[in-house]
Amino acid sequence: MIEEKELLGLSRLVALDIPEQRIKAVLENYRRIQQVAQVVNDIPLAPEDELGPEWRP
Amino acid sequence: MRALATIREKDGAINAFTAVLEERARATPKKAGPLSGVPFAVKNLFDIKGISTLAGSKINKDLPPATRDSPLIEKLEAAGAVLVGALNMDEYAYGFSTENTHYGPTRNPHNLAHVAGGSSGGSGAAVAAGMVPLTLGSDTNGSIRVPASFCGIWGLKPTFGRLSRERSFPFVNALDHLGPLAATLDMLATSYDVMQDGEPVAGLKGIEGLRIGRVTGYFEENSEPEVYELTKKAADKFKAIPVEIPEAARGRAAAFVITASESGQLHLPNLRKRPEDFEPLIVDRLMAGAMIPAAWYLQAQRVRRWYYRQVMKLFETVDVILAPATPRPAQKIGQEMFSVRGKEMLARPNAGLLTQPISCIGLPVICAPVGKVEGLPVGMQIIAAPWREDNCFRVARALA
Repeated sequence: MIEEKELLGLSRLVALDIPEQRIKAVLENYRRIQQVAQVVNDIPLAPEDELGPEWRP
Repeated sequence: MRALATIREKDGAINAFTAVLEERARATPKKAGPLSGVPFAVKNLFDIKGISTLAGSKINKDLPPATRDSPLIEKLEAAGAVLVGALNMDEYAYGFSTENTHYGPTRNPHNLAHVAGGSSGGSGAAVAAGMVPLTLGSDTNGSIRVPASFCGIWGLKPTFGRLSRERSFPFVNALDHLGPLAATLDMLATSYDVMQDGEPVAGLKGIEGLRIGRVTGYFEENSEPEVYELTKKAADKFKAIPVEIPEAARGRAAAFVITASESGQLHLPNLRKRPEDFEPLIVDRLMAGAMIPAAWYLQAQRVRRWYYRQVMKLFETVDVILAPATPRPAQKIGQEMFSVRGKEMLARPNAGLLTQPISCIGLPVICAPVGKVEGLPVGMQIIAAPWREDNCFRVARALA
């Protein structure tokens, strides 16, 4: 899971200054997203799942 | 106009409206049409000429007033309906409870201590309280269906792309839908027909030839037994066959990542400039979402397509799928946690557990009231293949 130092590095990359009192809550939220993204990232996909210019649900 | 008096009488307790357009409503000339004289109101993310489009936020108060109504408002008014107000919502549509810190929580007319659902909570409560028979809402992950379920009314989330989103404030471009909530199925169908360009659905009836399925698996595991039983009872009327929506949990996960990323990006300029003006319940999520790597977002979009292909295979064997709309009835205002089949979870995000896997791939859904649990209403999703709203309406008619 992402650590606070890495989160602050990311925030600098997007020029977002996270207020001191929010860092803990933002980190918790990021970790939750990271956990869910891991589930998504682990799905093996086929060529037909590539995004085509025409695709929409 | 009677609706204006009813709003004055009831909205103090409910807090569904953020603006009552008394002058405009009184000045609207009576017009013939399928919705002649019907008062309606819209979630405050729809542009209304002359007022700023709040989208539930404090920040948008600084926007100039909209110069034109949303096209859906124009269509309803052309059919004779009369706009009477704008409605409360979760800030920027990011929530399922309409506990809005800036404008106060919207209360559930069935029990004022409970939430009305969200993010179109004002749209649900205004109808359930009898203030107006018709409202418009938006649904990205369940924001029409959750309040429809919690408030015991009808709601329609049409196929992705069916109704124009022009002149409405976005949440997640890849997932946003607009649609009506109504006191009756007739009102739902008539208003939808007025806004859509396809074949009319009002008056459709008969389920001959329709193959109907009832979900098991993820949807059964993630709904309280009493809630699931109501869907099962309704499904038994149709001799629905048990079916499983494949990979619903992972479809929901993809929607979660897409939602976090797009909404974070959308609000990044204001997150940099004025974070203290955001809703405290969402600002941390928005900040986290703004820092998601592009690789995660793109993978989530690909997974959405992967999930879509699998669900389309299911529609080779059934035409309509019935599923509970919410895991439980409405939680109390301020309630942080609830339990589903003994599993404790955060209440606010998980009210959309059963809606998010459906909107993720843009399927049309009607949320129909099916009964009460613990004295509060719950709804059932009537789900069809893309562009087959007609099938949703046929089944809904057989239930109504």
